[in-house]
Amino acid sequence: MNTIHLSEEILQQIAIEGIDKYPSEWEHVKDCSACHSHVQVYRELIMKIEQSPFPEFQFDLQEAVLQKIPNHSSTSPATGRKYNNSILIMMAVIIAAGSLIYLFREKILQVSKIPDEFSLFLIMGSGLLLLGMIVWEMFKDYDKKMNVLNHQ
Amino acid sequence: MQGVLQKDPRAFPAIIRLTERLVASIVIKLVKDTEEHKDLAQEIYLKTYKKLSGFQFQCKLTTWVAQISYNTCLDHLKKKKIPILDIQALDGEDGKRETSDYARSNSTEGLPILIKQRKEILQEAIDQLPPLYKTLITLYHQDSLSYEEIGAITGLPSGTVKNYLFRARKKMKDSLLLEYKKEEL
Repeated sequence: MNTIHLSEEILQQIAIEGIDKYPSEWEHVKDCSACHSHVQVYRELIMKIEQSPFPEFQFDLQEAVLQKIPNHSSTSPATGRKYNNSILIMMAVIIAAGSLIYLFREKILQVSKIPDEFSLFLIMGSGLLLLGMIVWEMFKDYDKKMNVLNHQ
Repeated sequence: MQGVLQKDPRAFPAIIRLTERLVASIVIKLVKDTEEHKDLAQEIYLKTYKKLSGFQFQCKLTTWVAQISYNTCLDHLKKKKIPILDIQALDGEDGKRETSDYARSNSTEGLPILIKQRKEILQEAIDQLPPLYKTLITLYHQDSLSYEEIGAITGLPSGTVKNYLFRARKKMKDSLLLEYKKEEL
């Protein structure tokens, strides 16, 4: 038997990884009561740590965190942005269409002056379209809030 | 995940569920005062929420949240002037790993210690560790993280993590042997 005691590092490794990886060192450990008892203590310690229950918070983490998240139950910024973008695109399309009709009124409508009724129709139509989109956005927002509430 | 990255609040609970265990390991082991755990957890997840759009996928999401947890706890302990690794913990530990005469002279062989006592002594040895050692031990032995993963969380080099773990185990073993010796007397 090798009479020189093993280093702490090797003793720990034997305790953690097992004797298979350290056969020659184990030859010493099994015949050396001092080294053997140290490996035993390390094994006990590691076993105790591994068998301990996982640390857990003593409160409802989800509830505690979500109440601190700003507007966590309202429309998300990304969704809101997406929706704002579609309103802007729609407005741009309406303005562009209106401008084209106005610029090429003689070719398109065969008139030099757009009748008041048609202008009124365009303005009212655009207004109603935008109003519809805003109402739709409010409905979606409400739907999202209800979804979040129902899932808590 | 897509929802989380778009800051959809409905997806955030999924992140909390995914990371809760690791965050609890870090917060509970680093900060002893249980009354402060709730505020710290809220602060950690608020930071996570705010920084989420900046997450670059350079590491696992759990590791990233754990980094935030570790740094938040560290800042908290600094404010309170609580050391995570007291000087006593390093006393007589210069990192050399040769066989110590003291350790060799403290054999447990033949000590008639009751199992119940032994369990209590073991728990005490773990509890007596400095906060950083306790955290590293938990992350390595309970959460089964690698040296590299622990290094990524704590910002310590892998070699330092390995060395601290070695010291932590040795410290626990020495205090255990001391207790066993006392019981013997």
